[in-house]
Amino acid sequence: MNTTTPTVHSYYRYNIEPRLLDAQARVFDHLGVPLVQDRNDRLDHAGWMNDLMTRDDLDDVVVVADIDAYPLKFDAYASLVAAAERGAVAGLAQTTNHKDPTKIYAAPMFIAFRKDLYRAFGSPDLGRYATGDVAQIMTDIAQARGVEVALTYPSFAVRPMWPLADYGIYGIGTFYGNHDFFHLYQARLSEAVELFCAVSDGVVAGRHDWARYLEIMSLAPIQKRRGLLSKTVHKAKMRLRSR
Amino acid sequence: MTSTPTVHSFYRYNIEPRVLAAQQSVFDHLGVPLRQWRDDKQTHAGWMDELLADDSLDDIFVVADIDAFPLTYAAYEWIVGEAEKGAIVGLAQTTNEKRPDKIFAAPMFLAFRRDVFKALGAPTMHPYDEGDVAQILTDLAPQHGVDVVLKYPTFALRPRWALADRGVYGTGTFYGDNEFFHLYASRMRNTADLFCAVAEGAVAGTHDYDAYLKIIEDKPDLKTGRSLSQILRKLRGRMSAT
Repeated sequence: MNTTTPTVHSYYRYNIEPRLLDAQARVFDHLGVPLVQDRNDRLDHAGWMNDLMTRDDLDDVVVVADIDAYPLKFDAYASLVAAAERGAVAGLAQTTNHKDPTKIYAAPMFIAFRKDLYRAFGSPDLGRYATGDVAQIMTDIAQARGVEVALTYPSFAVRPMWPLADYGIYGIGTFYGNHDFFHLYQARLSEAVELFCAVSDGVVAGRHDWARYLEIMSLAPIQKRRGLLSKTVHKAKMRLRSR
Repeated sequence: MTSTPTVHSFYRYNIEPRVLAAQQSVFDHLGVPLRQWRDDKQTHAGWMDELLADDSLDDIFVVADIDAFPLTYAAYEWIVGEAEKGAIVGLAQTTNEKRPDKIFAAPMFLAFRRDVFKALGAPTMHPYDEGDVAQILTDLAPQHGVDVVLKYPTFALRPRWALADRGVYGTGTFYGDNEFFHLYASRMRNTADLFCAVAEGAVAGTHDYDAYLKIIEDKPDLKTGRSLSQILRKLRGRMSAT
């Protein structure tokens, strides 16, 4: 078990609904886990993480969570921090399916590592790169150097969306471990925000209403994943829009 | 496990031949004996009662739904091994319209010793006020000092129902550590594709979860994520409200 309770840092921009921020903060308050929700409309997620890593006032163990994620119990947070304290890169398992769907890594939806480990890794840029997504570089370097990568795997999702390599599935409203962590994914979908608030109610009440969660997501449209052609067109549109 | 009892599964005329073939292919691949019984006259429970009255069958009674299979031989060994020890052992389910908080060993994959069944009073497997098919075994077990051993769902490709305080299950549910699979929708033509795909994965030894999700995603009648009975209940509620 960890001996410290480092602050969890989460990033958001102007487009995140206040009720989602409240719901996340409510869970952290309930569990007694320190949380700082950091609004930054100027930097992207990776830029914000890079900036965070330069701060002098950081805890020895750095913990980052997505704005739509929280631990479901204090012990889950404590285990994650303990893994980081013993020198691991610890986080929730994910794949970057559009790059290398076979490569599972500790994703920044909930990740923890020692500040000195990050420095020993050469203070890498946590941005996307050719073969990985945000912060995936930490897993890559850890594996290259024989450093432990402690992963907590998804158990199930309220709306499964994507494969997790040969392990299973994850999606909107994913529960990790043995009801250890929750990550919403797609926080801009109104039904998903509703789900996030309902699950946070469940955490605080100490009992999950699975039927309610299913009912909320049954109202959400099925979002078809893009095929290769559709993805290419979408990417081109995004590039044109950003010019 | 000291024996390799046959797994019995029941079906009627409305089950697609490819579903039967897919289930058979998995059992053949694993080397687990399977007997698929077609009976257009009996109900599922009536058919189970008949089999349980037949003492010429194995000492360990193993029953599976026609749209279920073990994903590994070790899973079959586990269920038979627990039954040999004297437990009622099966996959966890709830009868949500009766007792949503009561988890029981369901006959989608269920095993027990015949002498344990007799010690429980050889009850009928029919649904009753407080339980579904074969739920009576879980209900009677504690009174007779018999263990109920459950294997819980891990995830479903299309979650549809709550499993008490444990989580969810639904169309295409995987149990344990990828140990058992149950489709839960064998009469819906469009989910037969999923059943066949998972059977192929079990035989190939690798699951293509992306392909499974695409099959489910492409099924328009699953868009609401609701069962027909849920839709009917909602319609009835609206009619009675007006």
